[in-house]
Amino acid sequence: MGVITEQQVTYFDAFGYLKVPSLFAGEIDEITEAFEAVFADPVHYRLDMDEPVHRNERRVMIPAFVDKHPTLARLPEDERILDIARTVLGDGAEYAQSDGNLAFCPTEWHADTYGTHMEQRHIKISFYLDPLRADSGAIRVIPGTHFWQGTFARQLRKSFREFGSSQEVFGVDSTAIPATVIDSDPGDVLVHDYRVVHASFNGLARRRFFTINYREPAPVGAAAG
Amino acid sequence: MAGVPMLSDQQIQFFRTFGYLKLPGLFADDIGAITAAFEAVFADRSVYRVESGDVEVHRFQDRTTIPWFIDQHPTLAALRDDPRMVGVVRSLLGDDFEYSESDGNLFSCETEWHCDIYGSPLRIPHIKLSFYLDPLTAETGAPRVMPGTHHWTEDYAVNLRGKFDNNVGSLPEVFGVDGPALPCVALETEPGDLLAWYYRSIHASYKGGPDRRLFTVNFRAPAPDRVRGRQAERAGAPS
Repeated sequence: MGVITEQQVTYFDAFGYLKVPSLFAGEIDEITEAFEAVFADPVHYRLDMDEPVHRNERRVMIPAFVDKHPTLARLPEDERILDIARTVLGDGAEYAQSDGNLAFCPTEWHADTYGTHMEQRHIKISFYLDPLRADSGAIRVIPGTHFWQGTFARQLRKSFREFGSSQEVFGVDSTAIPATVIDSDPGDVLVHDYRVVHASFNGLARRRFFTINYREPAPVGAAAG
Repeated sequence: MAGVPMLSDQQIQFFRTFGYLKLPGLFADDIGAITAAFEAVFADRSVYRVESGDVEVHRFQDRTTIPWFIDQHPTLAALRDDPRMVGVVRSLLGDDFEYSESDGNLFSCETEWHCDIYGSPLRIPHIKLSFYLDPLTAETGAPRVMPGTHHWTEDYAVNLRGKFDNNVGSLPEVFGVDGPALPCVALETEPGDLLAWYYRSIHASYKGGPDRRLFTVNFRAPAPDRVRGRQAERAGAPS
């Protein structure tokens, strides 16, 4: 049996996300140390942002993150990670980069549609390095929105196009939009489809996470991106 | 619509997007009289009722239902034309809405994931206005819904309905977790709240205690042929 069961794949396919508790519990201290070492080294290019999706508050991101440290660089080839990617996306799953993040901000509702071919399924495998709950910045998702061409997902993406407009559109604050909060502890791995609408609120300062991304192969004959 | 309090644009948008809407305290002032009427109807043994303990979706636990419920008591019957109800229904279904019966319930059971498709043509939007007469939380039997599943012909809802319909009582074999652990929103309620949802929204209830009290008043949009007939009538043409 692989890392995830047939039932977990069914769950992922149905709702667009999956939590695999404690998959890296044994190595999480070493992984966290590597994360901190990369962020502590000023030589690494980083984006220091204050975008509207983050309510103009601070988020720092280092692209191509896992390449910066040998402990992290092993992860895209780790059998556990590869097994998840291949089980969900098929044997032809392709590595699609990584990023490391320090969040000092909330994140409004959005899907990770930037710069990706939506017709090609992408997944994000996330390591959150702090214990996170609804009141401390845990990621929240709107299950089912990975069916991205459906009315539900399209309505939501349209409604959230202007960040922070939930009150105006739905009469409730962004934090009260019906969603599932995915509580996590260091060592857990979260998997979600890029297309799932997601957000984070009420967060602690300097929340640490990094993601390793995969995609299914482009259809034969598709134009290069 | 004069004299009828309508929902806000935002509430309508919420309902259309997520498939349900909670209206806190809408009947708070009347809930004592409403609850007394509910109890009087259930206490009257001459009123026809269906007592079931053999239904798989309720895990073979006890549920009692009285059909045509609000017709059994004048306090409840008045709800059908109550301006608050009319305002909600007009806001959600338009002026030509039709009444679609009611039922009263005592639940001593859990309810697995399902949508209310029995006996109602799904192509016609139906809504259920629910009065829960006990305070309910996720841990005590509050209704749970899966937002977005009212888009019943789309992949998300079709896939889930297929799995729920074919695997009642064996969800762990399908999803790896049982019904209470599936992602949803629990609609925690207090007596006096009104919950509105589409029949098509997939919903459930878990962890409830005995004799939880609920009644629903249901409405639907008119069938397309009836709409055409009414338009013809208004225009003075034979329908």
